[in-house]
Amino acid sequence: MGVTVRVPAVLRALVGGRAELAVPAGLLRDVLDAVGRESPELLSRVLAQEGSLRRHVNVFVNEEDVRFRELLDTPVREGDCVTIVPSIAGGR
Amino acid sequence: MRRRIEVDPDLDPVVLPTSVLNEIFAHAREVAPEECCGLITGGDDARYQHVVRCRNDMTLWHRRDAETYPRDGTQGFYMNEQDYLRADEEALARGERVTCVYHSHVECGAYFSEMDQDFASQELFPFPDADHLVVAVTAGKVVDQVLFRREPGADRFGGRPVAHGLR
Ligand SMILES: [Zn+2]
Repeated sequence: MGVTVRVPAVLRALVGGRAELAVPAGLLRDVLDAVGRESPELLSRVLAQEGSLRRHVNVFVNEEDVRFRELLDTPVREGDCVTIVPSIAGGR
Repeated sequence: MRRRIEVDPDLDPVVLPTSVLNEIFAHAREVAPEECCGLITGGDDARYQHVVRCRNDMTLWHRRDAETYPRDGTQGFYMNEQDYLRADEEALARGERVTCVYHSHVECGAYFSEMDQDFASQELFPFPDADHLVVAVTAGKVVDQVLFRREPGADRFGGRPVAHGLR
């Protein structure tokens, strides 16, 4: 069954227009590794050079923000849905 | 290094429906001294149709991790992701799209800050073609509003005066 990775509209061009990718379950870092094998460009938008999540992007496993879980060590199980969500923020 | 962008009175004003502006002004007043944030959706013939309020999670993030999020909601906004994803889906279902991102500044001017530009210009920004409306709230009242739009052929935003209109 695997894991569904939802790709935001703004990044779909990097994965041939697909809205979702299917990859094997594992820790979030394994899931993102698998995403990177499909599209290194997409992965480079999500992870910084040193391998942590970029400042402008968050990842949800199902409805849960991985910043409240174990970040890249968050377990992703069969049937889970991983969503890549760019941040909208600003200030004065 | 970016610098804040102010209104450019030489640029043509952008007309927004009074009902849309009133809804955004009410949101800004209600949540002051925190900044408000939300989206305007619309189509090709009526670009600014519906206002969708989103939660500003900046204070929440600041309390959880003040190192990563040094500002609280009085000095910045962090749009709740579930709110904006839902608003985007609902807009698409109506045959609309997100045409403007709005937020307020409290006790300072309606400029496009370095931080605003930083997020709006990042390659992951989900609504790259949207405008940005900033409203200034002073002493509980909305005192100014400016719409920032990418200038054609230029890699920067221009600040346009905002006029009230019927639609
Ligand atoms: Zn701002």
